[in-house]
Amino acid sequence: MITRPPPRAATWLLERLGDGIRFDSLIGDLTEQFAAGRSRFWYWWQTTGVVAQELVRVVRAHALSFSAATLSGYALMHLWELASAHVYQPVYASLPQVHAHHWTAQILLRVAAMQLNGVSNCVLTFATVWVVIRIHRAHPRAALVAFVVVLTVPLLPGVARELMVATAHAPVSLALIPLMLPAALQATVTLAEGLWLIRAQRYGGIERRTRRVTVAVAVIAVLVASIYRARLVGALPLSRPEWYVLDLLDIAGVAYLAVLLWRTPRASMTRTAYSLRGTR
Amino acid sequence: MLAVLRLGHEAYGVPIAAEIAQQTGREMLQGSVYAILERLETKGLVSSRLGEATTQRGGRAKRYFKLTGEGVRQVREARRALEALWGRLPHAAGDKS
Repeated sequence: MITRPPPRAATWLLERLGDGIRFDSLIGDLTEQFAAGRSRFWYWWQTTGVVAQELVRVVRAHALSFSAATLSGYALMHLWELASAHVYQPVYASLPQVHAHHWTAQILLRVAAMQLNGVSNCVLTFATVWVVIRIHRAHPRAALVAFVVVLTVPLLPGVARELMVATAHAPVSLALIPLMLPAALQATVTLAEGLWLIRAQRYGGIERRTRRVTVAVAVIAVLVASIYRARLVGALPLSRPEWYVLDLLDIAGVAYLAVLLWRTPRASMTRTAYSLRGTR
Repeated sequence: MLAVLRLGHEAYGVPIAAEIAQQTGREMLQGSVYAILERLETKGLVSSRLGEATTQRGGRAKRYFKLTGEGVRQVREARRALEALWGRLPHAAGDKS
């Protein structure tokens, strides 16, 4: 048992920073010296030094491919959006007139086209994320997170503006919700898809619970999308709060999946990986 | 590399950093020690293996380093070059003997 446990936050930071093999022994060294009487300040000083060195190392080694990855992803997403808006524009045109008729062949066709739009969006997001993590293979997670940030940040000024309006005119404006939900959904879906792609190379290593949650999230997403489209053509009356609840359920499911996929391999696994690497 | 050579089978992060601090009078960041050793490992001058995990280390393994044959050769070469350079200096420049 360790007599003096080292600062938990600093250790957590180091664990997330490294790839396990590199940092496991380093953290062990710091823990050993801390247990031998080094101060908390010393531990944090060492941690800060490691973080700074790692940042400089990554930027020096990968700045070009990192920028190329995020910018390519951003450009591709906008290209898909433009193409999608052009191709599927007739499907969403004159929707109010459709509301009068329920479940005619034409409406069914529209709903099918909308579903196709959703599926193609999902596939294109997968393709974009694949490009991002392929361009910057050295740190796919970092490239993915940066890409999600780049996608989300342009949406933030609108959210901030609404927030300022909302705080000036209490009670809080409901206009914030339709702004925030799509941004949150896009960020979580992109993150989960990217993490799945990163781990897909070792599919067998994915835990059963993660697979089950993936299936459940996919089913929920298809259901919510179907309900949304049925509401768009007026075939399903659904109030806004009900719709927000469904959206939040979708986001929560995808976010939980992202957390499961994000989890770092255990130290024992990294040790095995290290010994295997050493035998090659 | 000299610290690793001197410590022999006990050469892992903590004693290497302590040895450097003792000999140079300057304490290095533990991360810098690893960064240098990993660079040397990439160049094939040093090799490493994982050792035992002790409770005092929070269950984390020690990473032992040792010089490869090429590493030992390079150290010898550096020593020879240094001695040759010192030998060419006039006595008044640095050595009283």
